Amino acid sequence: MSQYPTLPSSLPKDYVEPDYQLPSRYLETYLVLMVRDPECIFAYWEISPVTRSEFEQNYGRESWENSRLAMRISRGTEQNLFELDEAATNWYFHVKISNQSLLGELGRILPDQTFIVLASARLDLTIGTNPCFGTNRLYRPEHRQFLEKTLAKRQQETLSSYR
Amino acid sequence: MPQGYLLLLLHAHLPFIRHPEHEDFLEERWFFEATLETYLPLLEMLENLHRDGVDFSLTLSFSPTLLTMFSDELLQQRLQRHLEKLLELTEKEIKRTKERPENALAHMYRERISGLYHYYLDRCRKNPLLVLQHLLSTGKVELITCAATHGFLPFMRREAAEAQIATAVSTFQQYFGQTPPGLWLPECAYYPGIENILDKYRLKYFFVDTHGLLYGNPAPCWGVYSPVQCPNGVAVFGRDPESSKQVWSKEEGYPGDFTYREYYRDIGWDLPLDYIRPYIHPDGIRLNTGIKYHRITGKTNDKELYDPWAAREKAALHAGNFMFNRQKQVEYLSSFMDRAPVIVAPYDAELFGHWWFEGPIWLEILLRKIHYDQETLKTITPSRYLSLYPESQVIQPSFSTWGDKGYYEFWLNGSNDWIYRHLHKAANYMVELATSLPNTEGILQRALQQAARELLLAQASDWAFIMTANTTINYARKRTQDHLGRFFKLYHDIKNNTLDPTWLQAIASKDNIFPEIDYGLYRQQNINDSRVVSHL
Repeated sequence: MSQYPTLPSSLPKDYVEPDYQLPSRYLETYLVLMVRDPECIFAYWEISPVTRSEFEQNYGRESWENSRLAMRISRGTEQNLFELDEAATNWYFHVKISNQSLLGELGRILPDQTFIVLASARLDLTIGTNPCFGTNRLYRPEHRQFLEKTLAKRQQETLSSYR
Repeated sequence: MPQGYLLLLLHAHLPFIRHPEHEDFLEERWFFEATLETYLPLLEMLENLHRDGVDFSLTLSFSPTLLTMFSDELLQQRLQRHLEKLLELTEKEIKRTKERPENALAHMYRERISGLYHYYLDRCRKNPLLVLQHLLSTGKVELITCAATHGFLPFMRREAAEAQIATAVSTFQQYFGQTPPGLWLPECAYYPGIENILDKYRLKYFFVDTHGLLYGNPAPCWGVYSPVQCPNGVAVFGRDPESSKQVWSKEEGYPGDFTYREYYRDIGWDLPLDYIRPYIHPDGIRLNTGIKYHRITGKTNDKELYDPWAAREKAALHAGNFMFNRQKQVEYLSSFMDRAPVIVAPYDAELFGHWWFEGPIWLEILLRKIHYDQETLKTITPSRYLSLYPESQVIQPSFSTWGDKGYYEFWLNGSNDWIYRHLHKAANYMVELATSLPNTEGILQRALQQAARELLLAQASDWAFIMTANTTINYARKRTQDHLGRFFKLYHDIKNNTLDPTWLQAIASKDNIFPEIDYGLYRQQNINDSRVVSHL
């Protein structure tokens, strides 16, 4: 690693650090899903110029303009298609997240309603939204009442103003 | 033998705020105010309790950023200067209020600040870690750690979350010569799988909010009143909503009592600019000085003069009320549980003293009362409880935070969601660098270490929190942008062999946290145990 110089022991007196700008895009195609709560996921994405040009090669010169941006969300056998603003690069989806994996697919809807996937992402999680008693014999009726009472107290809490 | 236990936990954290490039930096005051109003009074109070032979147990979590700021020479000097300026202001206030009813309060502030100034200089020798080390040795205080920069772990890929935890553990070892027994998850934010990293670093327990345990699988037999263990054996304590509400609640909590000191009336805002100018920001920006003469009084802007004795009486009353309620709770719980219940009551440390001026008095009286006045209830540390009851139910906790609505919304919403695209990309780049450059030396190693520091600093949950809370948004945005900007420049400079030594020295001298950081922590692991963010 000798091509690197060593660090100076002190800085020039008038040294000013430059300002930074974050990249507006990374020129890659990706889709990322994030859980916000049991009823909402956040998605952000980017579609690279390469992906767009491949799409146009496959589906025709004006296929991009003639198709619509959409997100397909699948959970088990249930599937929802959400149409999105063309300029959007992120979105909140109000979908219930239960105990099954969730597949998000970002794509475009062609005029004949065919959905072409450009990027996909999967969430594999288990989210509890109720006490899970199952068939365990440990739980007597008073356990249920006791846990539900504790939960009700938690739900009554308001956000503290002390932060 | 008590019928049950109270596990009090104070979580102390501030983001790393250190600006050597400015002589006087507004946000550094967060550290000065919190040290003066919360940390020093708490440490002094705990030492007094120990000196008086009070048998108490308290768990303290200090974030690695805060520990580092305590021991930073520049901040120590600036804190001393801040205290000296405040002392000067109290002298001036004694003269100004000579014929006014506030005069007794001005005297109170001089005595208080003078006492804390000498405590800081003489007892702490400018480093409160020395007192923490002493308190740790008494066995009455259990110290635990948090993530390195208080990063919001559920939104990180495995390597980044592990780097947060591993760096926190090594910082704790460096300051206290031992491995922390447990960890406070930043924002109490849990996702299934994080316990695997905790286990790897020999952390024995952590905490979740009430629903994190109650929605676990299977449901816990004893609710949040007995710890459980994750399938990998790491113990989990659940937050008790009742004790939390009595202190935290905006509407019903003790700190809102009309007798207590009003936080939002401060002479920094009330007095003429010409008079107060030397004690506020040099640019003339008004700010809190910490000298406040009014009590909450009521819900209107009419405020009466603060009466410290009446406030103390009220704190004693509230401490008694809190203890009484916990006694009733353990009497009820122990009537059907197969073990002594433990009530887990975690709070932000800054509530005590900074927001709630009388908080440290309340806590002191509470601990004395529990020791002297009754036998139903005893305070306990997590380690002690786990040694009494090593067997516990095996449960997979559910994802949760202690934030508004109980999940992740406070850290993911329209005000702050833009940061994650960049934070995730930066973490991916860091993993790429650490994996492709495992053995380095000289300036390249320095650059990789600095990249890890910048990433960690950008990940602090505080920035997303501030953006949502709509407080010092510009500062939070700038910090996010600066750390990520430095990171991306480092990444490209390393990749292109174009490192600029002067620039690197400049940013290394600013963001000098974790001097021994191991950037190798980011080496790719091919483990994807984050269930909250899709593949990263």
